[in-house]
Amino acid sequence: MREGASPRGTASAPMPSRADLREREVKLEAIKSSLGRLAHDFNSGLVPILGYLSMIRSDLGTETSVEEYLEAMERSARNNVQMAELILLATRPQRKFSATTFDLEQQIGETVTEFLATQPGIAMALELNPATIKSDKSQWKQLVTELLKNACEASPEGVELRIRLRIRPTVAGEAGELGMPETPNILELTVSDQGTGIPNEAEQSRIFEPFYTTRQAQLHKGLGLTVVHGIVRLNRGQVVASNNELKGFRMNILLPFELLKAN
Amino acid sequence: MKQRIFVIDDEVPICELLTKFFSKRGYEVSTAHSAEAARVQLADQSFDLTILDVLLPDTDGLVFLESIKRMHPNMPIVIMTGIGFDEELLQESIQKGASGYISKTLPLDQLLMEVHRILKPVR
Repeated sequence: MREGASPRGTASAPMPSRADLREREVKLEAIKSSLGRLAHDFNSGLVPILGYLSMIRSDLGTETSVEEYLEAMERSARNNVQMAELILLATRPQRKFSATTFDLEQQIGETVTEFLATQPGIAMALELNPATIKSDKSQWKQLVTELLKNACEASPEGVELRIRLRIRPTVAGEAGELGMPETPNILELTVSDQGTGIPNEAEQSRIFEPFYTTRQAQLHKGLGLTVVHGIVRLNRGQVVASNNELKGFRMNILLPFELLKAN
Repeated sequence: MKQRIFVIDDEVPICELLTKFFSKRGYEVSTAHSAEAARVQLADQSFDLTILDVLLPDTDGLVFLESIKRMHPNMPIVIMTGIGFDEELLQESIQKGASGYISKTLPLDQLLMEVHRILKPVR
């Protein structure tokens, strides 16, 4: 028996309830699944590097295609670095946080324009109000891009996405409920799509977990909303996801405006 | 005539690597990145051997293994995994008709040995 442990049958600490245990198991399973996915994706990036290395080794001295193999190795390694950067941005956004004062309305407008250049078939309805904040400009660009990507993937073709930026008074008790510092005003960014939404509440609560995706599993999928969550929490805000009343899904980013101005 | 290998893996860089590797060693290689795409090729082509990833985007690799076996009962299938060696997975693969099992992270020469073991090289 472990030192200090109670003999069987003598209660020294309350046993966790069945519901607590079940919740713990579900969480552990989710984490294990995420880590497994991570290991798989890292391995997948390393396999071509190892493979081309062994081909270079066996080719040396004969006719070689070294240049071609090196290029493929570099592509694969860069892909892995890109994934590691995305994971680090999701889990430790403070690592690269560099605050400047900028016009968020303009930044969102520019990000949307850039995004539309890569996704020409998408229509967007913008309702942006002025908001000057002090934060990391490039992280905001990434945040908005990830929200747009997520909304686009959920929406059928030819449907309009809605993006709204506004500053509104905080409702009494709202900041506390959201786990945010008290603030007279909230900066609210909403991105709304016209897809099928996520009817299952259990699924809805998991969408910010790393590597969790409700869509077809692909390399580097399931990190976008974790990145969004990481950046929002670093700015001491909260992100709330919900189904729209009629159709589609809505991401609400809520931030303590006064703190964001003074960062 | 060249022996034909069919690689089914959703990761394009791995398909490219195996195509280059086996082509250089005298095989003809075709690839598919999903079970659905593989099914289309398997419907009207025959291969001497298939290398099948266990994690596919649209179905479980082992379920698909059974499906391929129904379409081509005599074609050998080597299961490939990027998640490490797993005794349970190995047993299930063999029971469902796989001829071999290989980890993606093993040196390519071992995959080649596995292919040579199953397909006698054409002289």
